[in-house]
Amino acid sequence: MNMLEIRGLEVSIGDTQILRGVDLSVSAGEIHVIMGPNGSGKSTLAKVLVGHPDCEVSSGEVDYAGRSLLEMDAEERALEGVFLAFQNPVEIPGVGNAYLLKAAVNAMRRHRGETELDAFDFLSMVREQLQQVGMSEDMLKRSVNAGFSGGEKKRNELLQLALLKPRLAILDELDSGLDIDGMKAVCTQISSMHTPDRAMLLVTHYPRMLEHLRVDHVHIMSGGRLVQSGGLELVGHLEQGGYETFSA
Amino acid sequence: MHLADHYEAHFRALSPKWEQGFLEQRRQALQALLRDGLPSRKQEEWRFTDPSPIVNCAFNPVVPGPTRTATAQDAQAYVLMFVDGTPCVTQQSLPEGVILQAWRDSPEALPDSVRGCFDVAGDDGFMLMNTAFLAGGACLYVPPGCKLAAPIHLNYQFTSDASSRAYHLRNILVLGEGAEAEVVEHYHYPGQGTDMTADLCNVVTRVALAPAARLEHCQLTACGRVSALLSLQAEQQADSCYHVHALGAGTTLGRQAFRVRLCGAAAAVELDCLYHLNSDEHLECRMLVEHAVPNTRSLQLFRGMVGGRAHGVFNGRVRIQQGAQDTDARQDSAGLLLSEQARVDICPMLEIYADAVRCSHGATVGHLDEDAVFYMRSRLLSRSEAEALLRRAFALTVLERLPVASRALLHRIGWEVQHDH
Repeated sequence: MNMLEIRGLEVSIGDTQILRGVDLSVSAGEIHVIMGPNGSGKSTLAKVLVGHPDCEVSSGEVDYAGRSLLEMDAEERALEGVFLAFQNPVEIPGVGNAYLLKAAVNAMRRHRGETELDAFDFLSMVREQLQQVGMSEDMLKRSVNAGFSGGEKKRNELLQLALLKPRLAILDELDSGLDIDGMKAVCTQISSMHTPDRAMLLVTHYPRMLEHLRVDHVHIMSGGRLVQSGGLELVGHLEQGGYETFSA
Repeated sequence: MHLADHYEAHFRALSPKWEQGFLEQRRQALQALLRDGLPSRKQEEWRFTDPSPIVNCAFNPVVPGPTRTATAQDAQAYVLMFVDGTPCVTQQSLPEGVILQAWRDSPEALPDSVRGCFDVAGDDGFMLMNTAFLAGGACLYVPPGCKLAAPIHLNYQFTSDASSRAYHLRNILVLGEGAEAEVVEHYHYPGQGTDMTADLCNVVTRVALAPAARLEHCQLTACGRVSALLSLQAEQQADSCYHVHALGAGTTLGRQAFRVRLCGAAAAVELDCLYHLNSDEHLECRMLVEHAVPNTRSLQLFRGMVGGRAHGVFNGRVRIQQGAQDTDARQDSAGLLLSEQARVDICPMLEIYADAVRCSHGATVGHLDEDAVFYMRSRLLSRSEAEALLRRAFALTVLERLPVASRALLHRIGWEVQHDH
């Protein structure tokens, strides 16, 4: 059975229809990549899957692990293992980064019937991950994303991904704005999390990142639809002919 | 019975019990009160706070009982407690020269060191009422050079018996040259009762800081179903530092007025105010800082969280007098609306009569950041947890500036600014 099954999904933001009938099947263990020009609806697809209130679904269905995803609250989706690494993570002055991370990890542990971590255990767990994503411990003491550089915000998203270990990870341009080291950290993290029970949906502009990953499917999005699906060979076509070759 | 007759009758009944020395001043205040009346909403000063629920209620001025002995309850603070205005004194050894005591009836009863700061500015009807029916209060004197190691806790506890009582109290805090202290002034009313039976708590706190004195002054009001009028008047001499932390929650009708006069060079004042209102509560915070001499500094920091159908008001004024050059005055005010029917009014005002000054003011009013709420929900927090964190973050601007000892005291008495948190 597919982990994620999207059928005829139409979504508007405000008065503008963005998604015009998206169909997509994702199985556990797969890495899917969505590419497409700016404004084609990639981020909207990512956001509607995690229940962003701006996204209004006018038609279509989304099944996730046998349940109707669209009927679940945002926090319920997160608890059930749907995670979005945001393209532009919001800054939240006054809310400690460590506090939010610990609250999130413990909510997940509660949900899974595991014991909650105390501050000491949490910190030792985070320290391990910090090194992997290339973040300094100071960033835990700061407010969530407040005053972070673009790269720091992306690493913070990567840290959350590593800590929460979602079943379905949606990464919305997690690679953009990162330096070479950051890009490597993203690739390493994705590869290390590429397990048979986890699926990933990557939105990206940069084919170079895909060279380091074992990608199963590539989809081209245009005008609110997935207009072509295939393997990595689509990326080659893209680099030669641009998105015009695939226009809806 | 007409309200004027009501207060005159009270005055006649009480005057034989009062000290003779202060009686004439009381009588003059009563006459001015009867002549000019209590404030109404037509007056600019009361435009945002309708005083009619207080004005139209025939309050019965409370005469506090004689001082009682209480057992010490907090070893980490110097405590002066009042229950329904009656002082309850504990045996505690204060550093040499420090005076912390309750006073009653007349300024004649005050120690010489604080008596000079007894009089108040302004002829507002409620101020006149405070003078006419003054019951007493607390006084603190910290001698020159003395640095208090523990905070002072002025602990006013009230019970409610549905008899429309009025407490007219006056506190006097005087710090000598180079003295340092932390004071937590605390008013606690029970949360039960109805509007019709609410009491009136009319308090004036006078503060005088000698050169280089430093005072951290935390003013807590958890007033429940009561009308609370709190007025703070302070004068600061050169190099003195005064930091007020006014934290308020739950007041049927409240008005807090701060009036600080910077009279000596390099004097600095910071007035922080945080309150959280719900249901039909109303609270107005008024600040006036007068920069009377050159080279003084002030900050007005206001944060108001308002839910239900409550109404919060911030009226912040800075007056820079002629010749008060090199003044640095800042105002930073923000209102957070927690419901659709909540209302916050913010009125920053600068009156500048000098030409070489630095002034800034910023004011914002808005709802919780929905993007931040969603971000946290997507990180497994419930909506209520996310909202509580954002409220906490909003309050933190003021709370993180509390001095350590006062913060510990607040913790010991179980104070929570956000009662639903």
